[in-house]
Amino acid sequence: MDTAIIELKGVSRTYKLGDEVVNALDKVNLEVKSGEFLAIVGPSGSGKSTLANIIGGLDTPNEGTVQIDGEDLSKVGDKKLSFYRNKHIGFVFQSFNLQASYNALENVMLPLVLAKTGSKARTQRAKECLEAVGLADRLRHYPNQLSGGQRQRVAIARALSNQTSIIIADEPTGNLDSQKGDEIMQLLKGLNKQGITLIVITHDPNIAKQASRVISIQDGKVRESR
Amino acid sequence: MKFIDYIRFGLKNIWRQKARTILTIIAVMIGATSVVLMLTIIFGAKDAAISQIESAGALTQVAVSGNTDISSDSVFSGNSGGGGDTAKLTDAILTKVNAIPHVSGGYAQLSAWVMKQSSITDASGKKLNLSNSDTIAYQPSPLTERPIVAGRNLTPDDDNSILISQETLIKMGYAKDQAAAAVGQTLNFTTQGYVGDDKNVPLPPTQDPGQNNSKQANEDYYNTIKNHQGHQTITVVGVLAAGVYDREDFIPLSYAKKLMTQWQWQQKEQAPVDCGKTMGQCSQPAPEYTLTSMSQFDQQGYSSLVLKVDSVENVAGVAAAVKKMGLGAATAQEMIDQIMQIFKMISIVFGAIGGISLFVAAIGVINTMIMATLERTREIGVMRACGATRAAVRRLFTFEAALLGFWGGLFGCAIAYAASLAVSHFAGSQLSSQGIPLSVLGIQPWLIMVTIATTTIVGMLAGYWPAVRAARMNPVEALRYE
Repeated sequence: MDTAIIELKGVSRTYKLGDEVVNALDKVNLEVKSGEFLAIVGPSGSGKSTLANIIGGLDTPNEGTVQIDGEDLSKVGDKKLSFYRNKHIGFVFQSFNLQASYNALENVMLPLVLAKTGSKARTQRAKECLEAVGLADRLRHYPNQLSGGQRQRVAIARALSNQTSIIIADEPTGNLDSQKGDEIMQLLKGLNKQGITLIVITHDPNIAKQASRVISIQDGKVRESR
Repeated sequence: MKFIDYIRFGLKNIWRQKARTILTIIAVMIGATSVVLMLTIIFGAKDAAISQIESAGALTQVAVSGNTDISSDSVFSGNSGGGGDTAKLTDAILTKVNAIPHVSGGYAQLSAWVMKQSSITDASGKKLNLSNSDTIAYQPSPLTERPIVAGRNLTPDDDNSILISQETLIKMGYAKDQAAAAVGQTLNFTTQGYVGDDKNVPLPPTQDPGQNNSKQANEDYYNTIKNHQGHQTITVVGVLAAGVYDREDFIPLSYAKKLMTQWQWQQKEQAPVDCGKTMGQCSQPAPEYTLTSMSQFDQQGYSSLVLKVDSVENVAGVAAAVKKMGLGAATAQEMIDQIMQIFKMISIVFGAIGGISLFVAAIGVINTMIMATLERTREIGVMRACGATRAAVRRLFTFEAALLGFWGGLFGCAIAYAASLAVSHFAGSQLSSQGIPLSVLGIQPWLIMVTIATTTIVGMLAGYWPAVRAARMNPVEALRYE
């Protein structure tokens, strides 16, 4: 719990919206320790998704450095960044983002396919992950045959499948009722207990409460809340 | 992503929008079908034409004409063409060209146009229109033997005999398989003037200097001679096999020479009579006439000479030697070159048509792939989030486009193959009765492979740009895309 797995130094990210330049992130410094459960809170448009995307390697900063496991990701190319996302990051989205034409097993396998894992090994691993999220009996179901909570479980299984060390969840309970949302949070917390670093973006104080650490973002600036 | 996974996912992905995929594949398929069918027919026709020339033994022949402007089809037709400086082809020239090294033999041909000019009837009196055919005469020898389906070739003993072509066989009212029935049949035709054996030419009217109508009498006399009709009967001795001689009938040279010889009275040269100083008192003695022959052949010589060369390699050399003698020479190779040239042009034109249809299909593929990338924007975002590189996204979409091309090519070839089978099944007998070999419809395996490869590559190229667009998408925006 001591080593900083993620280290952001002076990270700025600007967007152009028409003629206006928006400072989504303004010289952000942030350290996330391995195994931490970090909640990022803030009003919509505050830059919390941008921060998550930069940590997750989907976006790169205009300024500053992003060190993950000691490696600077702010200047690497697409191939390395993609490799990093594949190996280290599991994304969980508010709207699940499952592929409608693939069944649960195939959805979970996607990161393994991209990692060139063999056909047998990846099926095995995907099964394990679906079992871990409590969907052992839903392997061949398609997303439209699953409830919202079940879909999010598939998405979590997908985030886990390539033995990732960090899960970034952007409003993971946003599309679920409170009971199902609780179940998903329990599941994520359980994974965090097993050693996975969990970063949750939320505006729900009840979820933020469960985190070991909360930061808030306002106008692109990070404030340590707890 | 492993290569096998591109195949696995690509195959799965293209069938997600079944209707659109099928329509796109049909577009490629139509292009592929047309290309395969057109090229198959062109190649088949070319091979058929060349193999006919080869089977006629013409590859080792050189046609010699007196005219240096000889066209290469005279290897078969016996016509030398017209115009230009023309040397008379005689037996002396035949002997001379026969002495050229590598010439294994030669014979002379004479175009017996008299037959073409007269009206021909069969034994029952029915008129035959043979204006499309030429009648060629030669001295029958082993060299002049041609493939026949019924009867026999001409022999040196033949006189009023004819070896007829398939064309003439049909004109005589026989089917292709009834050639044997035509052998022994006779053809009748008329000749103008006193030709051949017909030597009963009436004497010209006696010249009477004192009479005014003598000029008129002379004119009447010559018209009568000219309009005299002789009747000739000729017997079919054989029927030629279908091939390059389809428009030629053959008769013996001796008979042709006879037909082309006119008999007439010619006034003898007489010494002028000395009438002294008193004009008009002495009269010219009565003119004496001799019956003389006027041979068209003696005046114009042979139409062409045909030389047999010992091997195909020496044909060009012999032709060059003939040309050096100031004569015209043509070889089948030149004709084959011409055929090749013509087919090359046809191939280019048809290839362009096929190319256009493939181009249109490619636009269909581009459209389909752009639609697919737009529809699957979120999916692209998820793939990128899960660790797909831009290259992986690009490859997946390019591969899907290539698959559209591959299926289109495959189905196109299948349809072309089915069409060729159907044509040979339902119209095969009709085609072969027209002398078109069924091999024309044989689709070459390499053509199928090249076509499928081409449509696959076309699909790949068409899909590349949409795939690059998909790969360049910002993953963050792609994930937010509604």
